[in-house]
Amino acid sequence: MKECFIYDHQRTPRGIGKPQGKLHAFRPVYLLASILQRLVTRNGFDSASIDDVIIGCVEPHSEQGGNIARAAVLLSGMSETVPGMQINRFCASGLDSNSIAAAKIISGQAEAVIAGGVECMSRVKMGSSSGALFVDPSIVYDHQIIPQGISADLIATREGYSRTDLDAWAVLSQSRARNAWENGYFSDQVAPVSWPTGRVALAHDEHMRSGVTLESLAELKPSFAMMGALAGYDSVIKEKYPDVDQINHVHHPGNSSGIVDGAAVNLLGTKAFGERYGLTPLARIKGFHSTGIDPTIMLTAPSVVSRMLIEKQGLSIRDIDSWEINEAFSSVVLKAINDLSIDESLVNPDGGSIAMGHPLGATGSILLGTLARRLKRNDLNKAVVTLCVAGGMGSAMLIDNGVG
Amino acid sequence: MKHVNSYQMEGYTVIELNHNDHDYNVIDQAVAEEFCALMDATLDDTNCSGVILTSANNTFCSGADIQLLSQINRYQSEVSDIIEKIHQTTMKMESSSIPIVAALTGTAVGGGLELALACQYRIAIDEPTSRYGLPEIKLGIFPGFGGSQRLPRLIGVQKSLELMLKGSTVPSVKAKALGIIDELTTRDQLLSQAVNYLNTSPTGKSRWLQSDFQMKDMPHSYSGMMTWSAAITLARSQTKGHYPAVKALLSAVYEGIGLGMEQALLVEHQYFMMVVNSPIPENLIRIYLSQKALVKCKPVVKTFKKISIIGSGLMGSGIASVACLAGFKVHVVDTSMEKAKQSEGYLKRLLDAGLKRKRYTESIVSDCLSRLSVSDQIDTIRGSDLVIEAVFESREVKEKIYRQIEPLIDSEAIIASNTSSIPISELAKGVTNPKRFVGLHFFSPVEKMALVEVIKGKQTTDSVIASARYFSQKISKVPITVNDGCGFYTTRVFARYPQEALICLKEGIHPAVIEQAGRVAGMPMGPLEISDAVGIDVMSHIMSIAKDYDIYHDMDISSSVIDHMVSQSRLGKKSKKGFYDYQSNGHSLWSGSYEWVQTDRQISLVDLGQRLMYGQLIEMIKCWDESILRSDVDADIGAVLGWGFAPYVGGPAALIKTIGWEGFLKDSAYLADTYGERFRLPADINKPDFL
Repeated sequence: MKECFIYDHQRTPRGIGKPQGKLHAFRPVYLLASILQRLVTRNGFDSASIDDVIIGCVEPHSEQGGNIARAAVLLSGMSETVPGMQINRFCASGLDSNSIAAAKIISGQAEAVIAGGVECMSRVKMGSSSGALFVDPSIVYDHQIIPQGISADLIATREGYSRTDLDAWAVLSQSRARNAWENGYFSDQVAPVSWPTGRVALAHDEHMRSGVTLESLAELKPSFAMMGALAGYDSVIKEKYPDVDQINHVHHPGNSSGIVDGAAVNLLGTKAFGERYGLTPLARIKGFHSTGIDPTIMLTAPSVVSRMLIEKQGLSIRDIDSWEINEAFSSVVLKAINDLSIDESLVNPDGGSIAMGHPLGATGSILLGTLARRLKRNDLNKAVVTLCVAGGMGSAMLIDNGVG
Repeated sequence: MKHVNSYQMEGYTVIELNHNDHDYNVIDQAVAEEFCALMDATLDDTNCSGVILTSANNTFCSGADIQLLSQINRYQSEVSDIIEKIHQTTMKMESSSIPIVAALTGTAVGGGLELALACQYRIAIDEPTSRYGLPEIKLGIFPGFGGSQRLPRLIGVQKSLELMLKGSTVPSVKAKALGIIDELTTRDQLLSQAVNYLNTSPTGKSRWLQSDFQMKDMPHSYSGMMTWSAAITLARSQTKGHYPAVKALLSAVYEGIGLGMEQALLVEHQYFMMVVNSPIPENLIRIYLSQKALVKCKPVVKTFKKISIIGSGLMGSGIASVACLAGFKVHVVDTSMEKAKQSEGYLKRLLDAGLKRKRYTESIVSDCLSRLSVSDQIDTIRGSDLVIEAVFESREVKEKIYRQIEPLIDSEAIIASNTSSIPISELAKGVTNPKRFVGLHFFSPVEKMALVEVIKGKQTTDSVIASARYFSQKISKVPITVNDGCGFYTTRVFARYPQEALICLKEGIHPAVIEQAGRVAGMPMGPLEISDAVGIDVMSHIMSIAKDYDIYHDMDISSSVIDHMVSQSRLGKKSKKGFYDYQSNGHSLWSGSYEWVQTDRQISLVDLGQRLMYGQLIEMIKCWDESILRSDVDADIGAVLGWGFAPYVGGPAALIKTIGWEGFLKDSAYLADTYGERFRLPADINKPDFL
């Protein structure tokens, strides 16, 4: 068994996922190719030494379809000998691309792999690839497959989270993200997106907002109340959760992850690979796991899968020094913190998807990279990254400082 | 041929449906064979330049023969053969270069409309009485003659699913707006318009076979995803998964719309046969046919020249309005003119709503209003041949009224009480001639609820019962006839549903779970919600009467909850406060409804559902054993129409049939051992003869 190290993490800033967003004019393949190029240039390795490029993408059709990984390899100017593969585990795609890459390396089948993700949500709309899971009556009718926002509201209802509880986390996410930017924690990992002429289009996360307070969030209207009532989603939930009389619709754009455009890549390799190119690892990948839960409540897997992973490693929750739990919705993070009985100061201290946005297929890679850098920066021992996943799934990865 | 004719008209072939055994058209095995043979031969004729498909009757065709459908489970292979034949011929019709126009002489529903959908053009008569649609889902099946595939191609997935899932039919103007009908004309012009259409030399071939055809609302796009996800979920929320035809229809459309017609029809056929292989269609068809049989009037039994209603509350006004609408002269009496006039207001509201929906014309409205008179003087009821008492549920009040009524009316006139629970024979003690005294138990709101429970007192004569049934039928209500007892059949058995829920509540079971268990078990509303709808004060009253007659066990538990609610002034939906809080935008459980919850007292949803349903089943068996019920059809129709008892199981008697007597006894014994003696059947209980 080989060891797998994370040598670098690079990402684009996250642009607002609307037609007026600063990354909207850029094709997904361009964002991905530029960030690949940057990774190669920065680290000075021969691109032909990369055994594979594995890219997560949640809406892999149209301009994000047809294996965008291979397309981006060619556009980036990397060696044509580098193959590409696109994978999809919805919101954890960008983490699972790293898991698959690590599996190749640990098993000795590859020496260096680039794993990442891309999603231009302003151009390829969330949900636009449809799919049997969401529309085939033989599945949807019997399994109560509902929109994620309503699942998030269901979690809040069952756990008794008030709108203020959820908004408080959103305010925290914004202030932590601002703090991280101000302290320069992201300066080494965010590469500005530029036109081919060199003109910079975006250098910072565009979705972040300053001055977000509990009062300003209180003005936002709930996003899923009407949908839940009119399309019967609230009603079918009761077949599985009969003790719920009314769904408390408490999520809104301010306490849910932002819709953004972005791409991210991580350089993974063996010890020998790093030595050959004089690279210092950020962290070591110790293990990874994915699991499934009830698809209706859908978003409660982060604690389940993290526990499974940690136990598989013979560790306990207390051994984990830092966490990245994707802020798909406020209730998801609060529920995971509660289930794992961990201190909230350990979770997402550099902000999360509520503040900076959630470019679906790329987020897993961003969270992993952010965590690896934090591990290094703060000289921590062990850390876990986890994401909830549509359809009732969850993925998690454990990294450490490479000692022992 | 016997049922399908053809003749030539202005150079075109007319194929005419003309069922030999009925004055309307249905599709049975013989019709299907003749139709297919004739249509195939016509289309094979190289001299044929156009076909007009029509009917010799004032309606076009009402679809598959209901008698065949009522035994669909047994005749699966015959049904499958018919479907295959129709599929072959309709495919030939829509792909033929010979244009085919459907000239619809009136209502075209179910299989009738499906034949028309295989034509390239549909002309209908512009009249409000004819209906168009694919209502199969109401009988537990779904369109199987190609309708599930052709209607979405014709009018789009969203509109067609809405129509087919609801099983609604629409008048011709709406059908034209939806795109089901291409052209409207008069009855006289129908065939000549069909000829005119053929004279334009249309291309033949249905539009979905043309190269530029684009299917709308395909599921694999962003908007398609939203549409389909919502449509499936909405259907699930309305059926709780109890109607296999709903899921099968959704799947047949989802899988079929992307295919060529031959494979699409194969998908439809396979799903159809899967649905037929369940008992649910036969249960629903039996309910439908029984209902039709019960409402069919015998030849005139008795004329009612003047009907008087005593009491102008919700029930009195409702009965008065429905009788007026049916053409009767109705007189309403109450203690003041102000009260009596409430019935006029009630009728006006119904008529206004009908005017708005264009169901009534101005002249119908004014005629109807002129048939209603009101008074505060009891002696104005003179000359009535039917007097219906609909006053407060109190023996004293009622008996006082009977003493006033009797001297004012003819000795042959009928006196009926709309009591919902006091035994008729008891009330009859207050009249001098109990032979003409009968129970006519209506349900609220009267204009919506299709059932009337006719109750025979000990001395009520058969001819009075026949007249009471006749009156019910004339006002388009479905009568069931039962013998006397406290709460008769419907109130007595229904009340066990909320009563069991109240016992569960007192035990500490979560109220939302109790509600969900009721809905999942097939009841239209949760038992607490239904208690609110009935009214907590009314429940309290029914319980006190039931206590007097000692018909239920464990009454003290359930009445303690009701008493508590009354003491908190939570009187139900009418006061916007009951087990639920009612706001303009919906209702949610009142915090006080959680008062009894004990987290360690929860039971499985299955047991909970069984308790709620078996309470009713056991009471129904007791009614049978005590000869209150006279037929299992009455038991089933009464439950389904009276309080919405799970129609897909066919009613309580049909459900016991499905469970089997032995299984039913075993389940009841388990419930009695586990949850209380009220589930214990008498040791000497007889197996009912309907089993």
